[in-house]
Amino acid sequence: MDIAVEGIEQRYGPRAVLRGVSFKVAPGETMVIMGGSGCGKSTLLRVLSGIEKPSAGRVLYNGQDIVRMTEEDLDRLRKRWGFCFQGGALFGSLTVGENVAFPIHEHTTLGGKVVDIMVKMKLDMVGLTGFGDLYPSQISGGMAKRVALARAMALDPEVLFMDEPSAGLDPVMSAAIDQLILDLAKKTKITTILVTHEMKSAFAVADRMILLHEGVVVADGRPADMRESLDPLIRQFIDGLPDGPIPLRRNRDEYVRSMLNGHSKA
Amino acid sequence: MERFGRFCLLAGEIFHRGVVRPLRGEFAKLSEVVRCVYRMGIGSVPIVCLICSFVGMILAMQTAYQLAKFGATLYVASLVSVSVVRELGPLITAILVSGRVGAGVAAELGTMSVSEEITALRTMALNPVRILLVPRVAGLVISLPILTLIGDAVAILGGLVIGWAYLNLAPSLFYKVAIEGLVMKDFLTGFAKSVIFAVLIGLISCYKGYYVRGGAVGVGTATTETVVQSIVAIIIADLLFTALFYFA
Repeated sequence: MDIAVEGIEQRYGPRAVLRGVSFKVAPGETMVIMGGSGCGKSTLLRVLSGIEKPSAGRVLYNGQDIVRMTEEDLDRLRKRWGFCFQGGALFGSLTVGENVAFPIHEHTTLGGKVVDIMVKMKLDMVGLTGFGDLYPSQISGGMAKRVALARAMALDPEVLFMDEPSAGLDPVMSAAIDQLILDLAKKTKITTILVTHEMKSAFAVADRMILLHEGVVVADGRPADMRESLDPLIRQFIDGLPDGPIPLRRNRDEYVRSMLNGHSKA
Repeated sequence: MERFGRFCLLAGEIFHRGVVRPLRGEFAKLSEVVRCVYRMGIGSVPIVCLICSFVGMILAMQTAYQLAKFGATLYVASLVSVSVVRELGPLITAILVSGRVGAGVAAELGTMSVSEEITALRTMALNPVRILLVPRVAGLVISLPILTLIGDAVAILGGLVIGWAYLNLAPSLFYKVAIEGLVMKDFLTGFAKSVIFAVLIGLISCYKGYYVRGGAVGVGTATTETVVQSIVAIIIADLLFTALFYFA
């Protein structure tokens, strides 16, 4: 699915979270959205997936603008998407297997046995064979993220949105999730839009990446381009430097201004 | 004003998804409705029976105290039956259900909202109102009238026990006088009240839970507000309904 984002702005009262974000995602591409905490990554993902309407701009899927779509038309598109939440957002009253089966039961007329096989295949895909009868409260955070991925993949979507898939996981689990994303991209040719601030994961899975800073895209390119970039902001982010264009501490004037205006850039 | 507008919009959508669309053949999740009726209705039977039996006993003792002065203790039976079926049964049951079920619904939906489960439904192209809210309101509308009937019967039984034990009224006589004192309008009034109370509890608890903001504190606040506002709404509706039947 061809995705184009044009001039997206998102404001909450006087606060502008996204300020004219534009980029394109080619079919089958894995696009990584990077940026520091609070730079608008998750908001951008919510706008791209139609959860939030932007204040301005267009989000085009194969030329169709989802911003001006009715909820019914948007739902028709959503059936071709999968969304993997940062915290999993699994239904606590359902077992792991029932969570994965939920979208299949709701959107298809497949019988119980076929759905059971599909659930087993999806759980096997994320390395959770045999965990179908457990409840979300009985599994670890890493497992919950993998179940969320299995649920997002339940209807074999064309586009997969992932919000911080490896945040808070141990290095082994994080690498396992990265490998899973790579395998999916290779086997299913799925278009993936992924938000992360974990540099190792970002470079492991990305075909292309953008860097968001204060609601603006400051860099857009392939991982190799990013790695070789001499831009101080990109270098600070990639190398994880505490000080640079994103200052460790604000100067006195800026601090006073932010206090008096009641709003901070940091 | 904004909150009231949002409440009306949500109530309108619940009505649309729960009444209008089923008429066109698009039903809510029946299995979820059955689960809600079981959880809300069957689960509330013990507490409704316990409280309503005590209310019936208290009512019998209080009225006997006054009627004994006129030598009319026999009329305790009809007084208990009429006041329970018309007024106290629906009211006490609705207040109990608002505390037990309404608070539960608000807490459950609030937790789902905070943990992004409701947003997850939307990303799956599923309407949260159809999946979550309509079955809960439907569950209450089915459960509360049945619970009220059970509560009425148990309260009259409570009065009968007092009449038999302390007022020397034979159970058969108490039963006969209690039933003779009732007319169909009393049952219809009680039934209509219980349906309206169920709708009020359902809408308030769904609204409070669905629009929770602010994590665990928000869920706690929504739960408390659900109980308080449901009880206020029930009492106001009861007053209006009673006035309507009194003056009409």
